[in-house]
Amino acid sequence: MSLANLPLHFFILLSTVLLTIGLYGLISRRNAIAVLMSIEIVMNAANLNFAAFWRYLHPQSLEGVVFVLVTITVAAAEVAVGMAVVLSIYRTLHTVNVDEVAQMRG
Amino acid sequence: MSTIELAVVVFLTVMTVISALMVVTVRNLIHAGFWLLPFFLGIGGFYLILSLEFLFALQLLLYAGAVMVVVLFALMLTRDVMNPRVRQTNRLYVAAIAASASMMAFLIVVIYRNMGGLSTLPPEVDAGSITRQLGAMLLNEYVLPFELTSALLLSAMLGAIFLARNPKVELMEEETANEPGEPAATLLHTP
Repeated sequence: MSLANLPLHFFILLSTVLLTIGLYGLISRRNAIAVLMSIEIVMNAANLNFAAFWRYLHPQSLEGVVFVLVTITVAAAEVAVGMAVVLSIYRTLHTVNVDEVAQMRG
Repeated sequence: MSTIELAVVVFLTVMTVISALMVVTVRNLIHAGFWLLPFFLGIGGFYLILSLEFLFALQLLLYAGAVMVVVLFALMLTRDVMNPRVRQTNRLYVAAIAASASMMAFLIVVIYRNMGGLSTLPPEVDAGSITRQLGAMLLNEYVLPFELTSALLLSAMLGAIFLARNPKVELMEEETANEPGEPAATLLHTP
């Protein structure tokens, strides 16, 4: 696909909107898995910002893309560990709602 | 920008923003998990527009494939996620709307004020050689972060296996092996 002549502001504004949507879900959701899904939205917004800034400002060196690759890997690791923690909490406390998990020692 | 390109960009934007909104607002969490799919695909489409074919493939494989499957599995292993009567927002519902709306307004004002310093037209890049350059870069200049990331991924996988395994099953196996007459201690309850 050929490159559309979008301004850089478009990508920054889009990732701002996605970041704030993810922030809303992060604060307001009760279910821990839904909180992790909101974190995925925030991380994707950040990745899009990295890629857009790389493409518009420094397309000669690929540092931005390396950053996106590392972020995607860290996000995958975070999802795996997060889901394992959620399952462990569910097995111990029979709930995954973050406002009901209030004790340190189940 | 031609009409087709504009239509593609508008379609991708609407798809991404609406599916992100659905992920954070929908009550049935299985539906929220499935709404992640158009969101990840939309972000992947923007990677294509930015001439990053490799990241598009990675986005499809890792996010739309692996992450979404893990999320859906975890949702299906816990209860009450499909019950529409269960409240899915906490007390901070109003504060969350206020916080994210004010943050969005603040960031948009900042971006709008600083628009002049940003470039509007992207310079040309050779889209075909980006993946090749990226591979060379990851194994020459950035080999240390690359290896550290793989070590992180390995340790995260081991940690996930350790955390997700059921301790009660092993406890019962030990009990039956050592003291057959004693009832199995229920340190941890399983549903």
